[in-house]
Amino acid sequence: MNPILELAAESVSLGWLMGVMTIFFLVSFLGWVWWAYTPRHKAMMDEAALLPFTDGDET
Amino acid sequence: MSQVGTTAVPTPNYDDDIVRKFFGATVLWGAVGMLVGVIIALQIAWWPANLGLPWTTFGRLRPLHTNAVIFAFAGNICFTGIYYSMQRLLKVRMYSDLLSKLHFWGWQAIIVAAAITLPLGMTQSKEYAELIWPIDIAITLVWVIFGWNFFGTIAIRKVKHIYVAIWFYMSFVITIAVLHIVNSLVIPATLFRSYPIFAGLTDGLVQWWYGHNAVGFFLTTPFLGLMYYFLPRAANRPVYSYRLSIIHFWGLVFLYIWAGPHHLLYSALPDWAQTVGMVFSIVLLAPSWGGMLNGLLTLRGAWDRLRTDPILKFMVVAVSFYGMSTFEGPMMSIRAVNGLAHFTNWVIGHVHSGALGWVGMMSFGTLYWLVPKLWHRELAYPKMATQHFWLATIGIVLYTVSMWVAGLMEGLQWRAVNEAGQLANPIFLDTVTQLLPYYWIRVLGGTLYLTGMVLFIFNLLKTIKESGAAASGEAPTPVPAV
Repeated sequence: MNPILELAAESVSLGWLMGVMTIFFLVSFLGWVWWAYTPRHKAMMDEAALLPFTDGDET
Repeated sequence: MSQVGTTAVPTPNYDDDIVRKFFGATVLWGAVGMLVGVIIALQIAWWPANLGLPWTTFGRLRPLHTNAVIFAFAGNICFTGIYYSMQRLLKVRMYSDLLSKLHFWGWQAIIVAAAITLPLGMTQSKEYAELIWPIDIAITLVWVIFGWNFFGTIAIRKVKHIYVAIWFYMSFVITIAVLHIVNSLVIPATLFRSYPIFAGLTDGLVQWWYGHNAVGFFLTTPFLGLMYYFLPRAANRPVYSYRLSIIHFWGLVFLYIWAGPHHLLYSALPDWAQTVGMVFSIVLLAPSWGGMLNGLLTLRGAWDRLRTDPILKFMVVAVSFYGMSTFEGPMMSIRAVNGLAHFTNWVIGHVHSGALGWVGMMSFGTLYWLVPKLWHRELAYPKMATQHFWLATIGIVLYTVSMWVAGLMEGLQWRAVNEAGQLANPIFLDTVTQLLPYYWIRVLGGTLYLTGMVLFIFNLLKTIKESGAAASGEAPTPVPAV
């Protein structure tokens, strides 16, 4: 392949963007796992799970 | 002091009239959409069923079927469940009754417009986005009305914590707006015709970014919201792990939006973009199965009720089909598997295991639970609900298995070559006519499913009708006229 075209093809394959996205996704994932599982939030989670049962209009 | 702020429960004054209206629309359009589905299945098995009229040919009725079951049936059941559950989860009446009514009548008017234009052959020929540009603008307006009402209600909520189901609904409201507007960007030529602003490959990529996320955010996330509210209610126990539900939500919404390019494998789309679509589709298995397990394990200690409770039967089979489709989907997005499956009936089978199994069964379970509650009455015929369950389940199995077999036959025969490197099955028509028995099995499966739907409507209408006589001191609530 023409080396200039090859260089162009490589530059539009956006490898750096994939790297940044991978780090962003991994950090986000670890962030929300931490948020959900931190012991500090346990009581709040347990209470939130009961929200469907506090209708106020049980028949 | 409560950390989620549930201490101050106001006197409930919820708007259930809008919920009843959306329920009426759900069963009406559901029956129409499924009937059209059986008719076009029959047309594939036996072509004279197209009646020789342009308005009733497969090419026109197929988009009518998909639009009716997705946007009319699934759309209306989502709105039914959302209007019922969000008021109760946020402990507040909807932000505006007027906006609720505008949303309801606007959405039904759009459905009627679709039912008129599609058989007339008016289309912008994008799959699941066929409707012509004036209707697209109406959809945008009605969706903005819905979104305004939805977020208005969240803003005036009486509970600090927003329950996970509402988060799933939020992703539905926001993402569908974005998808619909971007994929419907066209330059109108006449009142009925337009040209997309995107060209060639870009148009294809935008279309499948839209198309796959319509599956993700119209047929998956709002139904997961329904699962996280109605399954605990029906099982009478909280969700197995609230923490897992949060991982499920964020995992799903982060990953889904990138999966669209798996519809364009082996196309002119750059290889790296195809790989991105494939990788995200495969990783999607993790949050999907996390959610499935969370749903199933909610029944821990109550599995015996599956024997007697038709509502739980529907919901458990729905969640199981969610698990099966979200395993099959990632597998089919792998390049090598996709090379075999693409353009075959396997894809149709996969879609219907999600649509009939997950969306349909979840809708039935939800409404069998909800309708008696809304009309303050027991379900009229619980045994009939169980019969419906078996008809629907057998119908889905016949549908999906026949399409798997048909799809694998096509896929294997199309790629088979002899020793000289020539096609082993050079006459394409031969690979089509051999499928006729499987097409007939599909007609049978669809007919069983539709028969179940008829029992479902009869049962619920009977439930509603009897409540008028039996409700203690309450004025009978009229059946919504739709």
